[in-house]
Amino acid sequence: MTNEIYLLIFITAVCGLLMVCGAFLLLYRGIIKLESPGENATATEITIYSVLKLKTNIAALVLFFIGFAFLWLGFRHAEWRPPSLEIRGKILNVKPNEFVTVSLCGGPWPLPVQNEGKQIFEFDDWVTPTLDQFQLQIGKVGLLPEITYGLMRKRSTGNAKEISKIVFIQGNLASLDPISLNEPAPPPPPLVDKVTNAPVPKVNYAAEN
Amino acid sequence: MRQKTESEHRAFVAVLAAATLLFQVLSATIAQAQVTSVTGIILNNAGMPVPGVRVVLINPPVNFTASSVTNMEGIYLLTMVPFYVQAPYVLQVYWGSQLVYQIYLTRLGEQEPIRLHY
Repeated sequence: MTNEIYLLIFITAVCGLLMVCGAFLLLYRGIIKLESPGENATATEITIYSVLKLKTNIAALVLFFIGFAFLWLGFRHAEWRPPSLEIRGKILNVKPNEFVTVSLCGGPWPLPVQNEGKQIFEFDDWVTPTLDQFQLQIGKVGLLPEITYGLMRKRSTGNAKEISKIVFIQGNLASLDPISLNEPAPPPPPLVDKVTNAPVPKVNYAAEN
Repeated sequence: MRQKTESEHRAFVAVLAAATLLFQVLSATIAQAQVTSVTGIILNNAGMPVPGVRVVLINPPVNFTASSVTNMEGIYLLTMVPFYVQAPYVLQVYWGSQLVYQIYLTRLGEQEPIRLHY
């Protein structure tokens, strides 16, 4: 859903709340009543553009009903949904049978903690991770460590332009330039095995602690 | 007489609540005290730090596994390692998916530097 629809839902909920509060106020002032109407009571009638005609003897209940209906609508649709993100890119020099891993994770979200010269530090703020920064890693088995891109939304730029491999998200789309994978990794060093032929040592880790 | 019974009852509930709270605090303290950490550095033949290799700590009898990746200084850190175990921990180093080093740990905490032969 777009932000405009969220705004409409919010306004709907506020309208509903106002109607319920207004109905309470009118009841308090005696302008409307919840008592059952007498035989000579005149019904309240509202006509809206000759299309919608409301006629009731218990106006307060109608106000409550409409107000609660608006409130219910607001709460019913007031669910948070993260903004969508579409990522497009092309990886060069990959054979059809080669498997390339592309993984996306949120953050990083650096949270500054100051110890103010003491040995003990405290962090007593709310942690509110945003969905404005992402890390995209592209790699293949047998190559050097993955290529990492930082994806950022425009409004959290800062000095990010100075950092290499930063891609700005335009709307909900992050479009990457053609990607060349890293060089093949050097072969692993020979195994240093001090377990296989070694007798299992007796340990008492707890004694040291 | 009835009032005295009620006050005794309230005192009993208060003491029970305080004892429960004390038990919880003690349990949490003891639970925290039963873990430690394992840290060290990984070097190559030239004595340079090796970043980006995976270090895994296992103890199969208690089904324990923890892993970490060395940072730019070649340092790894494994936390929340229980030390009340009977069998020794095995520390393994992986180069990608390849096992390149493994050793029994005779003690926890800070380890001797690990040298990979390359």
